[in-house]
Amino acid sequence: MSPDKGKGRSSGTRRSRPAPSAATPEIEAQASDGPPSSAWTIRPASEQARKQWDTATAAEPDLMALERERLRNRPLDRSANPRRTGQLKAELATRKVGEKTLPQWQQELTAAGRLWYCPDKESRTIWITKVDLSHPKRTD
Amino acid sequence: MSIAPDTTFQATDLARRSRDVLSAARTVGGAIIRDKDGESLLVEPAARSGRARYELAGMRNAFRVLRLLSMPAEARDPVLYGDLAWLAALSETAQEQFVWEYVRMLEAMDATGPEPVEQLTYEWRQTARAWADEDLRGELIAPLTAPLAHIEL
Repeated sequence: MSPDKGKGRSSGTRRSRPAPSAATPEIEAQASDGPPSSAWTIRPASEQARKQWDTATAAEPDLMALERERLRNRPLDRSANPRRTGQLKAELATRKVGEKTLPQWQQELTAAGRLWYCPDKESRTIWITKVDLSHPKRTD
Repeated sequence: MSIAPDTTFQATDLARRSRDVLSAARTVGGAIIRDKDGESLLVEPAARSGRARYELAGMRNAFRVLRLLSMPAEARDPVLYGDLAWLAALSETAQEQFVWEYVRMLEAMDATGPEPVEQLTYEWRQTARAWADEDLRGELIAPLTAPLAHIEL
């Protein structure tokens, strides 16, 4: 099931679009009940990340729809969901995506599930780097 | 600014001058009540006291980590880190970075409250969790050379 089902948006199917730039706002985001025009664009940072996103969306459509909405509108907001969202630290604080070195964030989707992403403020793009709904606990 | 209480009361003042006792308790240093056996009891706002205890516990944690970092690596048993045992999974440099960020947040707590400290600790703990998993660590460090810039999720 698409993460957008019942949300009034065009489906979660992928479209070929030009790469975003800082001067190209996401016009599509201006749907009546959709996010504001300043919404971020979510893109996969690798083929593997794309598959993981699709797998997670199929397994947990409602959860991933909420996550998609959060990423589009409040990807850097820790306060809305304290101690579930944050930037990783030290050697994991940044990651190279294409030519850019971007901050690396993690979102706790479930007790065991995690999503990692790299926000690019300049292009307002969220690069999904990994989705795992069953990350094993090692240090908890 | 002194943190010493300005006013000392007798136990009997609790009944006779309760308003004065409570008023003094709200001041910076709180109020001292001297009991009949000579023991002094401090009365102050619970929130202030809780914040001070939290900050003290945090500073103790930070000091413990700094002391451990001065020891040889093989002597740093995770159990010695106490509440911060998860920190042992990180490199020495990262541990030191955590400590100073943590101390800075604790010092700012009068203005910010404990939430930023909790959030910082959470982010570091999640980092340690990922770092401890060798496979995951490898994935999260690897550069992503071919992002799919034409696909929108």
